[in-house]
Amino acid sequence: MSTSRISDWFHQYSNDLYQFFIYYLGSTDVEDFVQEVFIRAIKKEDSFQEKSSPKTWLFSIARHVAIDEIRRKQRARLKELIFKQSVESYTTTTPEHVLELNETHKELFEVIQRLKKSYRDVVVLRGIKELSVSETAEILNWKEEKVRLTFHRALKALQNEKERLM
Amino acid sequence: MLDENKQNEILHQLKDLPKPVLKAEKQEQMLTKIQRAEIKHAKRERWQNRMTKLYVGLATVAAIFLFSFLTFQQVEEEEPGSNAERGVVSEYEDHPNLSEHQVALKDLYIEIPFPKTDVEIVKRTTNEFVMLDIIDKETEAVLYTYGEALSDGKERLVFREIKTDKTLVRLYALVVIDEDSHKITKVLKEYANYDPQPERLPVEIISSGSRSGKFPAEKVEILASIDLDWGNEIQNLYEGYLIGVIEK
Repeated sequence: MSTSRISDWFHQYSNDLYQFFIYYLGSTDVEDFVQEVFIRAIKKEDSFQEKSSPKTWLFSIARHVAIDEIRRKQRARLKELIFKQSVESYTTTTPEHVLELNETHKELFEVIQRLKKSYRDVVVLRGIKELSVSETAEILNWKEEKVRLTFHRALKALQNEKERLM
Repeated sequence: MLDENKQNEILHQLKDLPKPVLKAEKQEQMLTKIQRAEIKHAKRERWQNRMTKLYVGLATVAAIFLFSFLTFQQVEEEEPGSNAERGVVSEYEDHPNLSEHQVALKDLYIEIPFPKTDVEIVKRTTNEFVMLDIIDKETEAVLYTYGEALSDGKERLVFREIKTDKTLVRLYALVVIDEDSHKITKVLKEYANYDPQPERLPVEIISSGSRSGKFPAEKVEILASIDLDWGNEIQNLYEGYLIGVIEK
């Protein structure tokens, strides 16, 4: 029963999560993180409450996986600074190249990575993945008003950053 | 304030960003790994459940054993006459030659401050001693406890138990008797035992003497003046008892 449920969810949401990770982490080498989401979901399945949708539940797990990865990278960078070690890079080819982004998209992709975390949360979930305000609020554990306000500010920050780069 | 058009433009750009999908082959591989992880997790959960049940079962059995053991011990302790120290309770039989204030142990008698009719006397016999509890009929409190060793011969060991709130003192006297004349010819030793032992005994004077002032004596008095030092408190004990040989 539960095996088919996780498999169903994988078929339904794996690509959504894949896209989330690409834009949240700024990398295309994110298949392992998608897999990690479902493995964590298996372990936490007992805590899944039917009142929330599996989609928002999986996205909230994905966000935690992504935050863990960002922290891991930060620690690796710090280690590099202290011990002068070389830090692993995600890919040999750039995401922009893999995704075949045009100039506008390439610029936007770079700017998203420079946004502060809360702005990146709403830009990726609301702007790119086009989740509703209530879905985004559920994933981030925010109030809907906060989602609206933060998204508005994040768009402004994106615009400013783009103009600064031009 | 962000211009409406610019905001819409950025929104459109965000929506237009490419939405790459996982390759079917890669998806298949990932799903296989996820399903394997799920089977492994289910197995681990089943094992953990079994272990939890096992631990709970073992803990329950252990608790039952412990409870049974403690209950058994308690019952054993509470059962009258089953404890070797407390002794077997039997009916006190008075000796016709004894006065109203005298109670019979084995071959010796004790003189008590109350008339026998006013108190209840409980006789107990252990492996070593015959003992008497002098009990207040109204309050059922034990007023005095006396004992005599079961051994035969001329030398007789007799004691009185004095219970304080901190210890139990046994005031012993080892006497030599002459059964023919019904007299105590000599007091060999007087001493006390304490359970528990106080930290110090700054004063421990235990003496004996013939009531008539000479030996052989009809009645011998054993007296003790003891200070029990418990560190933060000193208890003064001044007690004694009077013994004689039963004329059989």
